[in-house]
Amino acid sequence: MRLYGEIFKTVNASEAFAGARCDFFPCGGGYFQGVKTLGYFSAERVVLVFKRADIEVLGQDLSVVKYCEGDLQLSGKIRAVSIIEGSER
Amino acid sequence: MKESSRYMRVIARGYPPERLVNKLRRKGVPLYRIRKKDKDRVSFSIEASKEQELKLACAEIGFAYTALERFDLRREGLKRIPLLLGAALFLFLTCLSNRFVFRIEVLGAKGLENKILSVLNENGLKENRAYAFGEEEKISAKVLEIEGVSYCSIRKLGTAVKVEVQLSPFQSPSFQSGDMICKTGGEIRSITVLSGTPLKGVGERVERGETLVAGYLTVEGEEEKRIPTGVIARVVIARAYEKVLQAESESGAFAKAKFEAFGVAVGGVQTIEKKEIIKTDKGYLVKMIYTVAESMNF
Repeated sequence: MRLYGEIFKTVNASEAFAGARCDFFPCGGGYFQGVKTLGYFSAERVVLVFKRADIEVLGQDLSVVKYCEGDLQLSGKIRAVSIIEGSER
Repeated sequence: MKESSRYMRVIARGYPPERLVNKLRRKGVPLYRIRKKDKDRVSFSIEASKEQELKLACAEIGFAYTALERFDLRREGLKRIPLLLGAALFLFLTCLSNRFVFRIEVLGAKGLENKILSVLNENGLKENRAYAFGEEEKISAKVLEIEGVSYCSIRKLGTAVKVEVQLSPFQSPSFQSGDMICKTGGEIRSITVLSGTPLKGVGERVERGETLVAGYLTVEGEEEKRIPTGVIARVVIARAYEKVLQAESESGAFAKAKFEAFGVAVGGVQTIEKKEIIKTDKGYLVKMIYTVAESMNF
């Protein structure tokens, strides 16, 4: 976690990416910070709206475990995480 | 993101369900276990105290909700007490059993396993007994006292104890007991006795099989007493060799003579004191005087 902290410090994540951060486990769940709104969600697809872009999470049995103050925890099997084309702001 | 101990499961109806979720998020209501049931139905859990905010949000965007059930995490936790007790008991038993030794493994001690095990047992390291923590160095020292053991390490791995031993590649010869018997025969040139009683002196002739040094010490007094002791002695004996040998040259004859003579002289260091080689009709006459050093526990 210390290394994580150092890496995020060097890229100045909070300013450059407006606090958006996506941590996920391949074929596992994920943790997303800076979620503005939940664009869409189903067991196979979740769209997370961030300040600068929209993220599409594809997988199986996806469900939102917690959603509070921009923090969102996703469970299930994440197969792909991508930025939706044209959503960059 | 802290979950309240009391919360409720809700199913809301309306399109799109994400709208209600986002509305609640904007109101600062933490949502848990959100599941989309249908294109216009969503279920989630919220803190029971936030029901008012839910009611307002639903009214604002035209959603309807139904409270399915109410949970009390504390009560849920109480239900798990037997499980927790079981886990605690398991941990306790694991910690307790960790203090015991159920198996002792001796590695690297070829032929000395039983001896090492008996030393371990004598020092309190036994199977099915409590393990004496902090005694490893003392027990290792005892194991190292066994002849031939050059390294010993005692490690406790769970309920087993691993005793790793290395045997010395150069084992010191064991102490020979009894008298020192002459192996060659000849004239004694020197005799050094550190322990025992010399029966022969310098200049005396000895035959093979005769006792050179006896394995006892004599104590003089009113009655002469003999105390048995181990012999530590070194005796240098001079021998003569004379033989006509068939050989092509002087050096060949001398080599043959050395081989014959030193082959007979068992053990010790041989030194040639004098040699003479005369060519005769029958071959080479080799005359040689050499010394042999015999020792016992020296």
